[in-house]
This record gives sequence, structure tokens and C-alpha cells, in this order.
Amino acid sequence: MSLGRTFFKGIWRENPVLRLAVGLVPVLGIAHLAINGVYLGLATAVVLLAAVLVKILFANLVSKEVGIFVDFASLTIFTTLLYRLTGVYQPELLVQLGIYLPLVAVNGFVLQRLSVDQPPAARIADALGMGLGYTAVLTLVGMIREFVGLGQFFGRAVLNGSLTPFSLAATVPGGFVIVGLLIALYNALSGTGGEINE
Amino acid sequence: MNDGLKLLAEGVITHNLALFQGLGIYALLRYTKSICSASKAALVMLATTLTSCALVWGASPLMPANYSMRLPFYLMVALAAGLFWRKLLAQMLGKELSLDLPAVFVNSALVGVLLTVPEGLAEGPGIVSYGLAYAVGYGLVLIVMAGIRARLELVDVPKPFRGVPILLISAALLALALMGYRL
Repeated sequence: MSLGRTFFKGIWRENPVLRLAVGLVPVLGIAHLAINGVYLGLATAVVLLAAVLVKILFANLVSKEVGIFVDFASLTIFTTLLYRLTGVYQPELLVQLGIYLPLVAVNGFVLQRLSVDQPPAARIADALGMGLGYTAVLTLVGMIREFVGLGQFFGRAVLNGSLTPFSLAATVPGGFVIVGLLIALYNALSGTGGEINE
Repeated sequence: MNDGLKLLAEGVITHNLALFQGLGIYALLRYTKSICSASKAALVMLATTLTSCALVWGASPLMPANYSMRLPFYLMVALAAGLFWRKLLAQMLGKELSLDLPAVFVNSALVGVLLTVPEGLAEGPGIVSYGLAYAVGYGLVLIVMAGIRARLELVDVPKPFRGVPILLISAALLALALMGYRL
């Protein structure tokens, strides 16, 4: 597969949330605001890319068994670094994201992409494409949940009392419904559905 | 006694890890194909959580005071517990759980439990009861979802809703049913 195709598959054909159903924790747990979706998506993409670069560097030096420790060590270091940087530059956002920012280190999406065996260039293209696709869906879910649940668009009130917000959409059970409907829409558009990727 | 029951009610119902915090969804979608595999995944969660909590309690003098530095500490503890049980449970669990995937043993539900332990509880035995309550709640949801999934197999679900969408919507209905206890 060409690098271009590897990059673009993460955005639609093998989107981590809509097709592979991985990394759903922040999508359901904290993406009830669009800004949370943007930040957490970008944070996850940056951590994934950094961990992939470390994996490439150590690929010939460590065995597969030891590789798990290297993966966890790099994920822990990059997530902690990001957590501290967010604390310095965006302390309010850090409080808003709660435990979900530290949980980037054990995000199923990141762990799954790191376990896929690919050549180095394809790994980087895959991490970039998947990271972009993940951020896009996290932002989209955040926008929908914020609009339906709070009547806002990126923090600005848009309904102005013309319609009562449906607050359930901003909760985790509401997130389950909205993400379920989005995946069903994706399945209908792409002609897939029925199977759950391991 | 009352505190213990309150903690159990929190872990199982009002603050359930999967239904109200959105944690551990990877296992919820993949290991609920049968009640047997869900029970095994619940057992793994229970074993790794109790071990991690006991390790945190034992190593509490070493715990960093700065919250941002606790993440590496908790991750090391979770990884140690995960790898310990991975070796021990590998034969029993068979091929139903993909043992090569670290996500099975070190997941967001396990680290989430450690990150949400109330201040002061982590230094005492209370952390083990806390972990037990939340792991039991998570395990019960896995088993109930496996039951719901078995019933869904008998229903003609529209093609786009088959698989993940119907499972997520079923989980939402289960969460809504329990939501009444939160009010």
C-alpha cells in the first residue's frame, strides 16, 4: 500500500472510531464539548506519533517482549510531559479534562496502532492519518454533543432560548447513543456493519 | 458496614466505570460475545485491580506528592499487576481474550480506578475496598451486556446498526435504567 493510501485510510476507510471502534473512552467520557474533542484528539495524535518514532528507533535494539515495556515507557513519558505542559499553559482545560488526559497513555487506539507491524515510513504515515481521523471524529462528536446537550457551538450560545437543550446528550449515556448513531450512519454510507474488529 | 455498602453501590450503580465514566469500552465491545468470555474479562479486571490497589497501598510511602507525577507511578503499578496476571491467567483464559494485546491487561478502567481514588484513601487499606467495588461493578456490566448481546442475536437488527452501534445504544439504555439511582 502506498504511503498516501496508508495516510488517508485513517481518515475514512479505517477510521479508528467509526470503523475500528477503538479509543472510545474520551469520545464517550469527555467529548461533550467541542474544545475537549479538539484538544484530546490532538494530544492523542501527538503522543501516538512520538511513541511511534521511539518504537522505530528501538525496533532493532529490543525484542517484541521488551518492546511492550518500551511502548509503555514512551507513552507514560510523553503523556506526563503533555499533562505538565497543559498545566502550565492551559490550567483550566487541565481541570476540565480531568482523568481523561492522563488516560491517553492507555488509550486502546494508541496501544492498537503501536501493536500493528509495519515498515517505518508506513508507521509514521499511519500514525499521522489515524491521529488526524481520530481528532476529526472527536471534534465532530464534541460539536454535536455540545450543540444538542448545551445549545452551544465552541462555547458560544447559539440557540438563545429558541429551543431547550437536551442535556442528556452531554452525559456519558447520551454519548453512547450519539456515537452509536454516528457509527450506524458511517456503516450505511460505507456499506459496512455487523462485525467488531479485534 | 454502611460505608462499605455505600462504596459498593457507588462502584456498581451510581459511578459505574463503563456506564457513567465511559471507561473500559474496549473490553465492553470485544469480550461480551458470550457470558463465559465476559466472566473471564471480569475476572481479569478484578484480579488486576485488586493487585494494583494492594501494590499502591504497599508502596504508598513511595507515592509522589505531585499529582502529575502519579501517572507514571500508577502506570508502573498497573503494568506490573497486568504482566503478573497475564502469565498466571494465560492458560485459563485460552484464546478468547487476545492475550498479546496489552489493552486486555492494562486498560483505561484499571488506570481510571487508580486515578480516581479519593485523596487520603490511597495510603490505607480503603483503596482495596474501593478497587473491589469498582471492579465488581465493571465486571457485572460486562456480564449483563453479554446477556443482552445474546438476546440481540435473535433479533433482526437493521444492517447499519449491527455490531458496535446496537451495543452502544443497549449500553446507553442500561445506563439510563441505572441513572434513576443517581438522582
